[in-house]
Amino acid sequence: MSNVTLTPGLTLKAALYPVDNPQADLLLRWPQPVTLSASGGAYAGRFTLPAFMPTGFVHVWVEGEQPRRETVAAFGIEGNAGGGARATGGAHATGGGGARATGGGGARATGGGGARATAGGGARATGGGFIRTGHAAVATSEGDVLFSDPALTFGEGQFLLLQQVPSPPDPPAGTTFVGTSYRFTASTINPPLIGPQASVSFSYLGAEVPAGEESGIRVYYRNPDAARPAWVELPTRLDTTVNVASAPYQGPGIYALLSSLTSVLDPGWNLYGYPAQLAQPPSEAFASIAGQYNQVVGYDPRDTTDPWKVYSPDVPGWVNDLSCLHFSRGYWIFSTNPATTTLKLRSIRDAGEANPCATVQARRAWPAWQACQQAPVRQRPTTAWYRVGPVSR
Amino acid sequence: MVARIAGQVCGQGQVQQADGQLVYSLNVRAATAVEPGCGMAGRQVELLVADVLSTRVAWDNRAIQRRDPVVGTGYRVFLPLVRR
Repeated sequence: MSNVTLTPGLTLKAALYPVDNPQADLLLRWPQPVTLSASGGAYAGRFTLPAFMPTGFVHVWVEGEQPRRETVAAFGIEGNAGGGARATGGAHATGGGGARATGGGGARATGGGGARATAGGGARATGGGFIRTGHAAVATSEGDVLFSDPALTFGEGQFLLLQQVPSPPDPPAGTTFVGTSYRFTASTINPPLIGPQASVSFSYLGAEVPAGEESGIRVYYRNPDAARPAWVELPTRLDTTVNVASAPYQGPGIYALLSSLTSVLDPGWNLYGYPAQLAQPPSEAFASIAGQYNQVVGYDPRDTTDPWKVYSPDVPGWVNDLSCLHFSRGYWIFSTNPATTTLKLRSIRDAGEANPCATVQARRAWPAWQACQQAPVRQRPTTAWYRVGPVSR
Repeated sequence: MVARIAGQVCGQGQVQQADGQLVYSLNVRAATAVEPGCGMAGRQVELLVADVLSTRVAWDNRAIQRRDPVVGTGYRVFLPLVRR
C-alpha cells in the first residue's frame, strides 16, 4: 500500500490468501494472520509459506475498529524464484502465438522453456506461470498488466514481483487513474538483468476510461526511492482498438495508467475551446500548466458593461472575475512557456470531491437562443490595471 | 477610474474596497473596427481618477499590469483660512 495516512498506535494485521486452492497438506501449514510492525513510516510483516506461491492476495486491516478499515492487494511473482508445485491452473502456451492458455497442468516444471506471447489482446485470462528461460513475461493474475522482455532469462533465485497498489500517490494535475496501479519489484539478491527492450503493457476496460479521454491515456511511472518521487509520463504506444497501452520499462517502482483531455498550447496567446462537460475554476482546470501561463480571458456577452472576464494566478483574488470555465466556450490563454505546452484536463471529479462550479454551472444554463453568442471571441483580450492602496487622500 | 487613449475612453472601473484598502481594476479594450483608437501594442493609455490624470502606461496585453496612481497630482487642495 502507499499514500495511506494512519494515526500512531494502531494495530494492523495482515493475512495471505492464495489464488489457487492449495493442497490439503499445504493448507494445514498455511500461515496465520500476522501483526504488522511500524518502522520508518511503514508497516511490515513476514509470512513464512509452506511452499512457493507465485500469486496471491494480501488482506490488511486495522484491528479492533468498527467499521473496519481494510484493503486487499493482489500480487504475482514471475521468474525463477525456486522450485515448487502448484496444485492447479496456469500452464502457458509456449512457442509464441497470441493466445494464452489457461487451466492445464498441475505440477510445474523447472527450467523449462515457456515463452509467453506478449502481444496484448483485449481479453483477460487467469493463471500465471513463473519459470522462464527466455522471452520473459510477467502478468498479473487478471492479465491487465504485462511485463515483457525478449532478452531476459531468469537464473535461479531471480524473479519479478507485481503487486497491486490500492491507494497510489495522488495523480499529476489534470489526470485520472484508469484501472489499478501496480508496483514492480525485482529480486534484490541476484536481480535479473533486464534489457532495454523491456516493456510494460496495460490492458484497460473502456468503461474505466472517462468519456472523451481515451486518446489521452498514458503510462506513468513513479520511483518511490527517488529523492523527490514524482509521476513521470512515459512514451506510450496506445492501441484503442484492443485497449492496450505500452511503455518502456523504467525499473522497479509504481506503474499506472492515467488519462486526461490533452491540448497543446503555443507560446503567447492561444484560443482554447474548453472541452470538458465538467465546469471547473481556472486554477484547477489549468493546474497541469501552473507556472506556464499568466492569464485566462473569457467573454460573457450577458454582461454588457464588462463582458471580458479575467483570471490570473499572479494577482490578488479581487482582480479575478473569471470564476468558472464552461463546456464548449472559448477562452484566451497566454502561455509564458517559450516552447509548446501540453495542457491536461480532467473531465470528471472523484466521488465526494467538492466542485465550486457545480452550482454556478446550473445557474448559468443559457437558453438556446443565446447559444450563438457563446462563439469563441475573435478579438484578443484587453489589459487590466489594478492597484493596491488608497485612491485619494 | 477611466482609461483613455488619445482622448477616447477605452475602459472604466469602479473603486472598491478589498482587505481594508481601496482598490480598482479595469480592462482597457483592444482596438476593433468599432473602436479603432483603443488598445494596440505601444499606444499610451492615460488612467484618470475622477477625471484627473493619474498615470500613463503603454498598452500591453501580455500580462495583467499593476499601476498605482500618482495620488495628488492635479488635485487642488483647499485649506481653511484661520484668522485670529
